[in-house]
Amino acid sequence: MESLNNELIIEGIRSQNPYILNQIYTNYFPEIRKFIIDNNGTIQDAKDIFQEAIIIIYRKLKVENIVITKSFNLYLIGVCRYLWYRQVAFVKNESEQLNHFAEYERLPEFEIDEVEKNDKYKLYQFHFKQLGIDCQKILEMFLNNVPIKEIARKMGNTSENYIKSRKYKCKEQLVNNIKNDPRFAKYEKK
Amino acid sequence: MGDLSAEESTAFEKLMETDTELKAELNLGKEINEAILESDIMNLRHTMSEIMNKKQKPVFIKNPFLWPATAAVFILAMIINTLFISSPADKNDIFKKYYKAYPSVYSSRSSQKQLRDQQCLRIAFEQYEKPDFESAGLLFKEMWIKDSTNNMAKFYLSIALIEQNKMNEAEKYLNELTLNKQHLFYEQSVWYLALVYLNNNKPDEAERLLNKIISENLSNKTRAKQILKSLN
Repeated sequence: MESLNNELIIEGIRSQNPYILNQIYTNYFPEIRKFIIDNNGTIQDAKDIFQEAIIIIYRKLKVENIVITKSFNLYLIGVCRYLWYRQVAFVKNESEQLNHFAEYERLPEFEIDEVEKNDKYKLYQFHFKQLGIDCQKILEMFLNNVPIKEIARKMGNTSENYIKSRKYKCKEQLVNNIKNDPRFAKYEKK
Repeated sequence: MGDLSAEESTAFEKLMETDTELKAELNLGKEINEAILESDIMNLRHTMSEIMNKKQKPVFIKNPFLWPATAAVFILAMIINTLFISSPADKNDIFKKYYKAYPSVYSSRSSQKQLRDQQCLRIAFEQYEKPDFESAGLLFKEMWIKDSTNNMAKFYLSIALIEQNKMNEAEKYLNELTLNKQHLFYEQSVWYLALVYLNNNKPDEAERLLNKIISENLSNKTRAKQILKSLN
């Protein structure tokens, strides 16, 4: 890992470079795992937190550059600790405690907003991935402004009306699945 | 709201101000749409999940008597194989005899490239030379995905795959590399593809390529002749 400086790590996350991601996991995950397990979490919790921390950093990189003055390790651990405390506080409904932790970790406002958004979007994306492949494709093409005629052709030369109706049903199914997920109710209350 | 007239649009906006449920519903729809369009985030989550699930610790056999027993069975199997089963032209043996990972070609010639690419290339070859073919393969693949004309990355990716015993994938990439003669790794690609064909038990395809190496006077001509001789 000596050859991977902060700049290269950040670039690796930005470009989703599998090698760099692999290196980040190999080098930094053990410390995160220890922290989560020491704080009553499981290995799976540690993996989830680690994964979401990388995604939150990626989200931030999409908007602006990250300047890490010390080591990337400290930065990553800070994000993971915040995510874990947040998750624990979320389950226990202890928002005050979370604010205390947030202050302790000194996370900039940006990260906190991104965490909020990331949580919700993760849930939406989870349910999107649970849809059939056809539904996923149709919704994606619609949102990318692919003409209905083209979508109908790509989906096996079906009629445009069929595509419109499928799109409506797919979206309806997605929204219902999200609303019926117990995690969604918690977001709604916030 | 392109489908609404000006009047309808005003009425709708008014309704939005008063009907919080409708507002929440529309916001949810908007957020879901945004989430669906985040294919990069979904890809990253998938990549991370693949990396994390692949890195499971190997299970070690704890019984101290099991290793000597396993070794004894293995040696016995080797003796039986040598005495009764192996034929002189075993394709897998030929592969093992003639296969050797292609040496790294990294040099400072790449200095014209941008720093980022250069670093990536340098690390890839460092891993290749270690050798850590899994990491090297991931990096070469990344470079090749970024630039599909980068035949060097594709070639070294193929070798890294062979080293990981991912022969079918290696065959696919080498096959593609042999379709175009206008690159520096063409002759080596033909050679390695012939070896991969042998390993993948495709002797006809291997022979075709070995004959091609001889007739077109490509690299490894002598060794191609030797292999053909042992095959026949």
